[in-house]
Amino acid sequence: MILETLFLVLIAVITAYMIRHYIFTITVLYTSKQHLKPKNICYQPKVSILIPAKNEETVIGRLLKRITELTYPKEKLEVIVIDDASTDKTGEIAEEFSEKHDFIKVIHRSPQEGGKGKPEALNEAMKHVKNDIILCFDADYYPQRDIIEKLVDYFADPKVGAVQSRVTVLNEPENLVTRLVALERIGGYRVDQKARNDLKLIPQYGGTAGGFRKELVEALGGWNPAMLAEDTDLTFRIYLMGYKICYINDVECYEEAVENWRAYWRQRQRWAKGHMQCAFKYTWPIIKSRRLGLKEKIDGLLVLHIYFLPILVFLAWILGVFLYISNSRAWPTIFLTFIPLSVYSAVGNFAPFFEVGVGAYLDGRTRIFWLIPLLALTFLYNMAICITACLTLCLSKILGKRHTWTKTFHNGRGNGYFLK
Amino acid sequence: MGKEGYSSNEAASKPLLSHVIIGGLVAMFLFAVFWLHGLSINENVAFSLFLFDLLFVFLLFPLKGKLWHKLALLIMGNMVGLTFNSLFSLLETSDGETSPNIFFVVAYPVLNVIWMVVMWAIGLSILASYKK
Repeated sequence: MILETLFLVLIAVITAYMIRHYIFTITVLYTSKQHLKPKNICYQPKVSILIPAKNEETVIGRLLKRITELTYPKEKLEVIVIDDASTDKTGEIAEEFSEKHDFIKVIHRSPQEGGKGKPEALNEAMKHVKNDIILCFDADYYPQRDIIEKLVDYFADPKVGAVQSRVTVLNEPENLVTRLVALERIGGYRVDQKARNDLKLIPQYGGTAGGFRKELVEALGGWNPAMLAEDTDLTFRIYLMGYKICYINDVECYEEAVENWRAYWRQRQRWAKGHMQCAFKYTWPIIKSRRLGLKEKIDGLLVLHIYFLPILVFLAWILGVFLYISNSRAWPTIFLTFIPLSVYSAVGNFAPFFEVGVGAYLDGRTRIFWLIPLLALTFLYNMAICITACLTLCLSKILGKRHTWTKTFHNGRGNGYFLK
Repeated sequence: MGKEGYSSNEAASKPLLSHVIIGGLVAMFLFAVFWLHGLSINENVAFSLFLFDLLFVFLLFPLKGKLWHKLALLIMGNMVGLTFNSLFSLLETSDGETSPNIFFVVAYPVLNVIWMVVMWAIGLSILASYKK
């Protein structure tokens, strides 16, 4: 009886996520909801761009060249590259750009002080920032030329604490992994983030290709170096302070996706651990927050705990099979059909297959749909990633060990797509 | 469009609600036909077909495209699902009705979802050509 109840509870949680994603997909399909921004206002404040980079010689030049091509007035721009104890030519390449362009500055961190992760690099950069609006780009990103004016527009609204643009995969044709990551990104941004924005729920600041107010981060005491998902951490701190985050779908920034399963594992495991850390930290503050409405609280809790979903699916699957075998009852098999469906519903960025499909359709894609059935692969992989992440996190909590930041390696093969 | 004093940046594309209604009715009709003709509809099959129809009718029928194409895809999906479930239910028990087949319990739900996702993806890829 206890096991049966537990099984039903697990199914209920999985169903809640499924319904959530179904609502998101329906919202994006059926409504023409839009990003509201002040009309006829030319808001062009001074902006600082932070680029944390550690051993990014293959991609940093591409981004800095792009920065010099941005259409935003250069006299209103300040670009700070944080060479975070790189052992390659990242610092030299950044210096070359700095010599040619006054608005680009480089901060070099020694191996003693730097190289400990993005949050620490950003905290260091904050000491040098002069402007009130800060945008952040990872070194492997490649923004649209007019990205800054499109993003900072939204800061004209004093309630907006951060903005996030859409992330698209640059090296999508490279191999199966990059193609599947591209699918995840389509579902995660084109549908999931957009619906959350349109429904006034909790769109997330993604840590890159977005921006925030300097005063906000200062008031929050900067980034927490102990957190592995500094973006999710900042997202919830912003909401708890009563500000909102805008996701802007028609502002795009390209990223170089991981190209093999090993790199995928390392990157996603950091995301999973970071997200779980945030879940432990913010669940109660969200529940008791007076600044968040009921639907924001519900969505906030679902977002926070999403990396536990593959673990719950795994448990439900095992439990369902056990109940069926031990009791020879047919009813768990009905729900067993539902579990793999949620497997497809919890892929990568946890956008379900139908969300991914509808996102690709809205993007005008035609051939990518054939890959949708293969999304099961990434989910099964994510199941292992999340279980390991959860176990590691619990173990390090018990042993009092601090988590180390795992850097994602970029080989710069995405550069080829600009030369074609 | 949008609040006064604000501008929006995305054009609306009207969902074809009439197609959704017709699709929903056809899905219910198919369900009734399967049931009345005593085709191997047990709880599992019913649940699978219900999920497929739910995803197909509400997410694909509002999209641009010919109604008869969508209906053909819906009917084809239901037939594939029914055939799959009928064939697979033969493996349900290994020795009569007593002991459950482990392979069935573990593999059935996974494979059951794969036909669903494949049919849904085929439908979407066909409808996407209309958008072009």
